[in-house]
Amino acid sequence: MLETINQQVEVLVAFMKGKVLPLSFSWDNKKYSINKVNLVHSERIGHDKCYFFSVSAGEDSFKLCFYTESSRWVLEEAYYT
Amino acid sequence: MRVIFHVDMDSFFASCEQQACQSLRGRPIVVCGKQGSRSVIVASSREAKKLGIKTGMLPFEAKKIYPAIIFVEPDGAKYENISRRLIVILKKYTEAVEVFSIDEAFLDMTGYVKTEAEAVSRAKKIKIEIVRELGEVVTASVGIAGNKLLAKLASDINKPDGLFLINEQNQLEVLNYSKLTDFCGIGRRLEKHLLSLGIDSVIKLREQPLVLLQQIFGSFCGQKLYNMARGLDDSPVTPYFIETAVKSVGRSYTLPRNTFDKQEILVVLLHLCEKVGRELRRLKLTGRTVVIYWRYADFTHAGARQTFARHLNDSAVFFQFGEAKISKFRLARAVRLVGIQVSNLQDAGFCQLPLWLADRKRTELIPFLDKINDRYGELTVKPAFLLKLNKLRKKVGGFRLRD
Repeated sequence: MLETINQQVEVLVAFMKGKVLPLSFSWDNKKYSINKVNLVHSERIGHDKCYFFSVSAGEDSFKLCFYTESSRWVLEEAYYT
Repeated sequence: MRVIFHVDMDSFFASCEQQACQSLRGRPIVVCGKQGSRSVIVASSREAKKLGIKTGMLPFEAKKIYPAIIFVEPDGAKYENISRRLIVILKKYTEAVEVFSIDEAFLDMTGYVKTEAEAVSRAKKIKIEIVRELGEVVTASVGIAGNKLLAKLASDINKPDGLFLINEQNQLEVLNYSKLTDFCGIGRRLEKHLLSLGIDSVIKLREQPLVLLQQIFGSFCGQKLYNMARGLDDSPVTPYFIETAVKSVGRSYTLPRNTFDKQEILVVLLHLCEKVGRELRRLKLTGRTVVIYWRYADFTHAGARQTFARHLNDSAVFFQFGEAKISKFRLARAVRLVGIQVSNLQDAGFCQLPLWLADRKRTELIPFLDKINDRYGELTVKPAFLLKLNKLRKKVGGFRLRD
């Protein structure tokens, strides 16, 4: 089931070979370890460039967004199995 | 000899969604607008296709076939981004890449491959690179042939994740086994016309003399049908860097429900006028002929057309014209779709400056409004009339690659 979240979250990332690799994030007092980054795409919202990371954590899938203007991470969507 | 590749992404939108969300993989999904809206299915996953759920179906039809079908809302930015990355991959193999649509492209590989075996090996390499760069679910089918017509036909054989080569040995067999609608250019309407003439196969089409086809379908279309039946096509691969002239700019929108409410129609029309004006200004174009049209619930049309004295790209003028026409018009039936199209285009550099000061001030203001919207997002500054817009989806228009 897909749920729209739109909440700011804390994300631990690694910078590897010129790429950003999210490792884990905390949301709702729970820590989620990311086991796979499925897709990365970017979008310009006005002047702000946003990077969307579609990731898998355990059985569930999440869509994280990094807003470059404000350096914020937002959990946009969650898909629970 | 020419060597043309046609790279066609498999169930593109649905594959992108399955790539992004692991939980959707291996399950029948369809990409379409919000549930309850009047959108059609724009893409179905290969699992959904196996069940008989096709693009263009209505959501309730898909649900009837498979009640547990998963509906996913389209994400244009995601598809555009992946498409861009696909084009970057293809450009590595040849500079002659023609972007045919958001999920397909033609590659002129003439000179880059010498033999059929080499062509097949290069196509395999492209397919591997697509999967490596875009993701394991985002696969492509590649068709190889001596021209665009046959290459496109070839990419549809062995789908998904297919690879097919049409050469002199198998060309006739492939053509004879193809349906008329398998050809790019023969749609349902033309097929119906052909069927009414007793032409129900490629073999029968090939039997028709050129003169007869030209008499019935006109010289251009008749010649095209004649060539199609023989697998002939000399159209070049137009590389991405050669700009094709834009002939018209238009937008239309299907309302969430049929309505007689002119205010509701005008709000949508203003949004569409804003979109068309912005697109014209982005392309640095102006237009003289404006067509405003609407579709009734019974799919009949009405509208108005005017050719202005000077070329314009001001959304407000387009809207004033549309508002004047719609306000006067007595709506015969409830309206389900509104649209605008601007044609008779020319370079904005040749545009005459308005004579009156008020008009001139507005013309000078528009680029600054566009800059604000460029910086802070679409419709940051908008006409107050559009404050009622929250009823509509934010994005109007299909998915296309922008320059």
